[in-house]
Amino acid sequence: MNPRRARRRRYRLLMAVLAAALLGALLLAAVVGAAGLTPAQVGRATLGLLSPGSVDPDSYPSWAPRLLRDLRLPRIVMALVAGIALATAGATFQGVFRNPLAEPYLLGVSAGAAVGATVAIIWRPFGALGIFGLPALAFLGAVLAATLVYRLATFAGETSSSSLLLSGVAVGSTFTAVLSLLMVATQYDLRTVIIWLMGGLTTASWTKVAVASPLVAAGFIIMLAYAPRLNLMLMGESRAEELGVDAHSTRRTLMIVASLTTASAVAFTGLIGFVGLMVPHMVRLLIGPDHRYLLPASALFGALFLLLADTLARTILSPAEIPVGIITAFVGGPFFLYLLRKRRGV
Amino acid sequence: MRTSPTPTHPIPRMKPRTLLLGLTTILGVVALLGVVALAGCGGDATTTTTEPPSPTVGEGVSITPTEEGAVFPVTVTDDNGTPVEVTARPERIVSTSPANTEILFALGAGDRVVGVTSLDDYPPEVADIDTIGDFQPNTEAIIALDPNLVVGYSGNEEALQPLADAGVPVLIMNAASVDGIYADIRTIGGAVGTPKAAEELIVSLQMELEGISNTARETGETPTVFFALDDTLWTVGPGSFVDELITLAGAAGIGASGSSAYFQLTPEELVASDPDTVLLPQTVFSTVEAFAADPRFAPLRAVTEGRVYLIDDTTVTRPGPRVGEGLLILAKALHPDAF
Amino acid sequence: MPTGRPTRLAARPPAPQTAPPTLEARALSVIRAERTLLDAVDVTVEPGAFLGILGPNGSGKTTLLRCLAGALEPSTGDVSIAGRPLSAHDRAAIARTIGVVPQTFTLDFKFTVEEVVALGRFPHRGSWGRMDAEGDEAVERALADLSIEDLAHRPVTELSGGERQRVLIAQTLAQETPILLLDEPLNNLDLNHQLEVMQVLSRLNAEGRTVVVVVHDINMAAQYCDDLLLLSSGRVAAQGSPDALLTPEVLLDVFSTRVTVHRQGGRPYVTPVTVSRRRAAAGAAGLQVHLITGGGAGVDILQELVHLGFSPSLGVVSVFDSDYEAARSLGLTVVSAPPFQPLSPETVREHEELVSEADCVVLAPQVYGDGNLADLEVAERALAAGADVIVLTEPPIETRDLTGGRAAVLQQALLDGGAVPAPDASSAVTTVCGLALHRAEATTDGDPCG
Repeated sequence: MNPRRARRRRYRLLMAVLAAALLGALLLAAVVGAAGLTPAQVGRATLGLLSPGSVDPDSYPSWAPRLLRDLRLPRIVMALVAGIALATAGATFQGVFRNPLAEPYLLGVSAGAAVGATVAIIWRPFGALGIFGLPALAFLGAVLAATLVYRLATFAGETSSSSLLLSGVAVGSTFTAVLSLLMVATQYDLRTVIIWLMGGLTTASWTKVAVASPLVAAGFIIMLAYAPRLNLMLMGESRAEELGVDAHSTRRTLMIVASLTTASAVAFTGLIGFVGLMVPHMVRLLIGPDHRYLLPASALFGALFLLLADTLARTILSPAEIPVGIITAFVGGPFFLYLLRKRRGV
Repeated sequence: MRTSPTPTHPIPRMKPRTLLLGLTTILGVVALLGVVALAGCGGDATTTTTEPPSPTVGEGVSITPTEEGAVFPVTVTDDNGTPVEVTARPERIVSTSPANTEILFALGAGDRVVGVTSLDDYPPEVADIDTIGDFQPNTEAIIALDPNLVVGYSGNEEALQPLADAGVPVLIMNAASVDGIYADIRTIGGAVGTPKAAEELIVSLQMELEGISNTARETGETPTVFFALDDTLWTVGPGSFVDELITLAGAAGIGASGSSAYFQLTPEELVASDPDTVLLPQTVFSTVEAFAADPRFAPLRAVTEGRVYLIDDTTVTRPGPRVGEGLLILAKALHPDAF
Repeated sequence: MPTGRPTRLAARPPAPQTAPPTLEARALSVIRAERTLLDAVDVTVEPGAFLGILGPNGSGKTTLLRCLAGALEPSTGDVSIAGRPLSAHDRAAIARTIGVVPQTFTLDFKFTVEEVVALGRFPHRGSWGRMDAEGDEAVERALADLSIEDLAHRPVTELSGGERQRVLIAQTLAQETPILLLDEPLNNLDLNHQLEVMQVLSRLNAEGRTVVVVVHDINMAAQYCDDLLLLSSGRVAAQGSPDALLTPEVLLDVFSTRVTVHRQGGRPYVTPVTVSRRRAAAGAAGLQVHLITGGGAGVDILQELVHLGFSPSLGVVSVFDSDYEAARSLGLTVVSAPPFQPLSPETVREHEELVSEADCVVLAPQVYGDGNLADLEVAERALAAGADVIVLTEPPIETRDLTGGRAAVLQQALLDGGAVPAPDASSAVTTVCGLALHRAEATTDGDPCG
């Protein structure tokens, strides 16, 4: 079938372009930063890391290898991981709800995580929980909110899409109200809270990457496995059931997995908006709605997008850092408008 | 409410809002820098400011910077209780808060400081030093400066962890009281190799503070005062650094009966307590009218009798070696006849 | 096929090796929100059957089909396939056995037609949805069968309603199930596509597949289906072959419409009776109609008859009845009587005379008491004398009988004696027109109005 092959070819082309762009972004992210290393120095320091002795240690600052390995690289990887998480969760939500405006924060995940993180920030003495106190509480908050949303939306064993959305709005608003209350109650942590809310990868570390990555990877694999079923769900749940898909179970599983994947990222990065909404949308405009292609392409695009955004965030006003969420919103919005004008419709 | 210590920088009050606030934050930081830069200039007739401070320490305090008594390696304990070993005299020091920067300069280690925040403003030499961030220190920038010692502030722990992991001594300082300042001076002095100068500075400050405090006490008056932290009636309470200064300045902060170190008054509470004096920070209020013209505060005696003063709160809220100046500013505002 | 396109000769799949399983619904009842959608329905769909489900709107056709597909849980009763209840099978297994074409589908995403049809292969695909050669062929055949090969690469969101309908059918055909259930698949389709679909179904049935189709078009069902199921108000009204089922009596009962049944292509062909009213009017003058009414029961009939040019007479009406007023204002002959009194012998005689002059007597659905029971006897005598008598049967006589059952007996006697029942004014008037037309044709040469 010619056009089917054409679609597959377009998919492969897109993936190749994205991979190349990602490679370029990786290199770019590696060489820029507040530390002011030149690309040559970065290159040499990297070589010095990989095979000590092969390069003259005086050709780069002594702290350079350490900086690259313990600071920049985990941050880069975290950006990739978070980008993958948000983009694929977003694509999945859009498929499950058959709505291109759905996004990973729909089911209360963002509000729950925000409350959890704020609690951790304000009552920091709250834990000799250490560095993992905040991500743990943020994750717990997200899970709690999502569970509440699901429970509230289930009547007599039936959970319809519309009641889920309404429940998400209700729970989200309630949690946001709690968040606002917490923010009003504190003066000196307010800045920290707000900066967390806007998303940031400043405190990325290998430990955090090690915790987030398997969660996100597992989530991605599961969502990808459900891709064919998700395609059928696009025709409505009753039609999907007529074609052999257990729609209820599929929807429930996907929502849980997508929410948990989002929570895993958000716990470590704060609320980075826009990626989960726009990236799958943009990819769909380029290669169509088949989830078997949409999910991997979204993952790649999400990783690329967030990496570039974070690199921009930490260099544009160096040494001050802009929260990543601001960059994603500023950059993504106009880009999406442009894409929409080029190809009308989704 | 919070019981943790004050940060050294005055923080603009923000109401909870959505993500758009981020831009305001950046604009706010820029504006803040501008205001802080202008703060040193003279004000209107209604302001009460002290004379420009002397280069390294406060007026009336003089020590001879010396490295007598320096011992290396030395283990000091920072305000988090962490023992930190400094193996050799640090040649490259990074400071992540203006108060600590002032201490470093006061101890004569200023020439070894290679990194400060963009909010640092004293002494004037800091203008030539590389910045490493504002409220949040930028870890990369700090690493790039290759420091041998980082003097950090409470809250920076996570950002400075990579440095600690790499073996750079990191001190987390957190002065919440006058005694806390003394302790910090001592700790930092030990870490940079100026222990004797540190002791001298402490003694000198103690004398300065005692002098001012005695003069204030001799007036026999203990006026009540409302110290505004911002324009939404947040004030200082027991356990806060500023409240301690107010007490030393021979006055009673109306927040002293409050529940925590920092809390928010309601307008009724303010009017009911009817303080003798109202002190407004210059960083938040541009004129006395901004407060006095508010109809809710019209019944206050301080308003009707003209005892609402703008003060340069930089040294009042920054627990550093210029604490004496800060105390003097307070004392002058509270006992205008005695000072 | 009328498209003029050469038929593709793709390799046909072998007919199912084993006969499709029997699909059986027993005592199926579906009650939702206190409305009974299905009431104790028993249906057995034999292997290889071609069953058409007919019925008026709201009779439960879609509900029944959904129960058979396993998409709807009945309130009582069960649906079983090959002897085992549907609920005992998992979705995927059912999807390999039963293919359903619902009335509509939504798809707001830009899948191409070919991709949508390929989705129908899901029950046969591996978990990754990879298509094998067999699947590709099934999709190709489905596209060809529905003549939508040209549309294969168009986004489904750009199609017209009819095109989408054909895509939906093609998707289910690609599923290649031994049993096919289709809910009004001909909606939105042009006539040539309707025929195309029915011919495809016919061919699939000839290969041994079971086909159950809900259609609105009775004649389409009659032409293609071997068995028909007639539903009415959630119950099975009739079941059997088209020849057995499609009779005027049954259809009048279920659809409340008079029909004539011819034969076409060896199958019944149903036409509703519509009498040209204009042509009937030409004979109106020749037909004398008498309307027996009272209590306002005949006002509607009266007005229609007059409108068509008849000059009916009325009797016996009370002077306070609205029938009386209407008749008087129209200048018609009326036999009237004072109310609540037994009829005087003169009145009775007057009435009998009037009736004897009438060719056609219409009995309006009045309330019968002792006072006007005689009306029924008069009608009976008219019937015996050879007049056509039309009896309005709604509201049911039982609700209008204050004579302890005697009126009901008399009415039944009338009906048994050859009086024509009419459920409402309109059909009564139609019958009258029919009579007028008949008389006009009989008394003149050919059609008076051409």
